[in-house]
Formats: sequence, C-alpha cells, structure tokens
Amino acid sequence: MSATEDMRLRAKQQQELCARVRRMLVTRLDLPVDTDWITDDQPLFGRGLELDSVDALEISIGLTAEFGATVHDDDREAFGSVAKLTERVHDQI
Amino acid sequence: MTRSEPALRVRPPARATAGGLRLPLLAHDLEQILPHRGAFALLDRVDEIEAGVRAAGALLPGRGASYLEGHFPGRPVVPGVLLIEALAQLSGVVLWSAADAVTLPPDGLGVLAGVKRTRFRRPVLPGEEVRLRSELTARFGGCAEFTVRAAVGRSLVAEGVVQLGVADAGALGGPALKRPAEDETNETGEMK
Repeated sequence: MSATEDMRLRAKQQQELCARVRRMLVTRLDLPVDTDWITDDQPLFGRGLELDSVDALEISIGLTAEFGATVHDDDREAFGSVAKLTERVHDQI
Repeated sequence: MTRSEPALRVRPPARATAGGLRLPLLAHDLEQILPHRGAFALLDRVDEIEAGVRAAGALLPGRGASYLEGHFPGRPVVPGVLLIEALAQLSGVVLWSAADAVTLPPDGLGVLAGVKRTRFRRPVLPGEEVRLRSELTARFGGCAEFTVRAAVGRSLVAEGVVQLGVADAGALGGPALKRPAEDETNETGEMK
C-alpha cells in the first residue's frame, strides 16, 4: 500500500471512529439531535453541547462499555471536543 | 482503593463488632455522614460496608409515617420514590466510606443526580423491613453511579441505578455537607 493510500485509510478509520463516538454520545446521553448535527470540533461542555458533570460520568461509562477505553477525570482536554475524545479512544484500541 | 485497606470505623459505642467494623451504623452515626435530617433521614441502619465498594442496610417504614396518610388514604403504600431516596442515601454512605472519598468544596452538597433503569416490582407496605443494597459501579470527578436493590424478605421490590453528584449548597442556602474533619478521627477512622 502506498503512503497516500495508507494515509487515506487512516483518515477514513479516524472518521469512522469519530462517528462511533458521536453515536455513543447521542445514544448514551439521549441527546435530542441527529448524530451528524454534532461536529468533531464542537465543545462538549459550556457553549456547544452544554453537557454537565453527570454527562461526563455517562461518557466515561460509555467509553469503557463500547470501546474498552478509559479517560481519567483530571484529563480535561479529552472532553474539549469529539475529536479529542476520539483521540483518547484511538490511543487505547 | 484496595481490599487490604483498613475497614471503616465510626465512633465506638459499645455494640457488637464484626471483623473490626463497628456496625451497624445507626441514626446518630449516619448523621455524621449524611446531611439528611428528620423525616428524610430514611436509613434506619447500615449493617455492612465494604469501603468504597458496596453497602447494605435497612429501611423500616413505620406505620405512622406521615407520608402514608396520603399515599394512599386507607391503603398505605411506601412511595417508590422514597425507596429510591433511601437507596441513594445508602449509596452516599458507600461513597463516603471510600479511602479516596470525594472531598466536597465548602459549599458542596452531595445530591441525587440521576435515576436510570429503575423498576418497582411490588408495593412495600408499612411495617415491612426493606433490605437495601448499593454497589458502586462507576466514578468520574465528583459523580458516581451505583447499582441498587431493595428487597422485602426474598422478594425483590425495587432495582435500578442511581447517580450522585455535587451541588453548590451556597446557591441553595443552608449548611454544606462535610465529612468529620481529620482531627475528629484517629488513624483508623474512629471518631475520637
């Protein structure tokens, strides 16, 4: 596989993983939005999805249940966006 | 937290011990742990604690409890929401007992933050002893999730999941929840 093909494959896998994380968020948090409405760079807390600390607990449970991944509660950067959350998942699978 | 850590101890009245634990925790012990008072101090006792993991206790709804007058007139039934509240309070004891218990901010108050997948299997009648069980299943930041069950004899009466969080008591008004200060307990956690 050429370097370009490899890069495309990894980008596609990353997009698919992001989509799975978004689906997990919508399902587990029972968000009244379509999965595609959430962008990868959208903040999860504050302005953005306006999630709270109990949602963070749900997300941590969802990451473990669906991806076998864990995020520590002092890793604030992980909850900055779907993309950052996906990075943590990618690093552990 | 590991299972080899010292078991929970509270102030030492002259009661039977089990494996070094000064159980059961009764009303005046639970007042050191939970902020609930009066009719809403629902836990009658806590019999078992595996620190930071699980606990078991009992709710003994008295026949004269005021909430039974209207629920329902002539057909008293313990409200399901009070079973959930009692299970949440027991869960608070589990969280409090953890070696790495959440340190509440000065104005922090431990509160019920969520209830999930909860079912009530049969009504509870006044005078029945309700056995309560709570097991910690997840923690993140100041929030925690517990699997809870309530039973009367061998009959399961309620089961579900409760979530506890931290509210800003300063915004609500009134005293904040706190654990006994470190200088009020000795090395094994007993009240001095």
